[in-house]
Amino acid sequence: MVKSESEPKLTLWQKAFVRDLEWRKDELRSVVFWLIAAFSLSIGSILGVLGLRGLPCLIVYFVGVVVAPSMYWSNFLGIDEQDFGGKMEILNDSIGSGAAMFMLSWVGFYTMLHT
Amino acid sequence: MSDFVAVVVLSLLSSALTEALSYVIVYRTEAFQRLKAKVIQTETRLEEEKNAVSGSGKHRQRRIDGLETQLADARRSAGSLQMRATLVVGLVQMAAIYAVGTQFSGRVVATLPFEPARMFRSLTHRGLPEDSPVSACSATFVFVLGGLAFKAIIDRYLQLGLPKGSSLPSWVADPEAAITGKK
Repeated sequence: MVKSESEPKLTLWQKAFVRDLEWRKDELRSVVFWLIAAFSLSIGSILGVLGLRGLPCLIVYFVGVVVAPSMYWSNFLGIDEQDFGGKMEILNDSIGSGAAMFMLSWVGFYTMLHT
Repeated sequence: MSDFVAVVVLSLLSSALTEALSYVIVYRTEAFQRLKAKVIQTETRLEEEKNAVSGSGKHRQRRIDGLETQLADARRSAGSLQMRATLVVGLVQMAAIYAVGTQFSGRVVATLPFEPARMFRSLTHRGLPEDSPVSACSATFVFVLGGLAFKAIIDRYLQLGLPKGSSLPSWVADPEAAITGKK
């Protein structure tokens, strides 16, 4: 991707809401980490509040945590994940902590409201 | 529920303490700061070199190889400095897990909304009576989950350590290149 000289200097979070900009790998991974954190906490809280249980919830989460960020960076940011080493290279250090946040919020809200 | 909140707060404090220890032992030292700056600088130059459209293939590839070697050396040196903190942090975490397990022994702090697989029950039921329900959750499991979550958040927010490099081996990140030998 050719860097435009006329692009104004944006903060990382400003860049996250603008399409078709140039990204460095560490910037993309930071944004994806926080996106996954917010997604995990939200999904875990919703499932816990609704009192949903079982394996289907885990499946929904693990599918969503891969699909949602992928759609964000490919459809909105216009990024080709192969330029950054592939999907797992971008998601690798965020999924483990995201899963922990999901479990914590799901277990917490379920315990608080349904036991 | 109050036990659950207490364990979550304890795991947050434990994660903050371990990050503070890492900062005191390693991150604030001049040697680590120098290596960190070198890693950041080399990664930026490497990315610029990979994205460059001008320059001959052979010379550019030689520059890329040189930068990758420099980057690997800098990361390796920083990693050996971080070993000191890793040992201390590991001991602190083990002590914290033991203390929490002892303090909340026999108490069900949460109810799991799923049936844990048999291999995980030793963790989810640690310290609980044998006859406790399958969905009962021990303090140890909640503490470990909290530790994983809070450590990552604190680490990412403060960015005291090294920038996250490529953590996958090259044959996983790019299997085609590994097989064909092309880059």
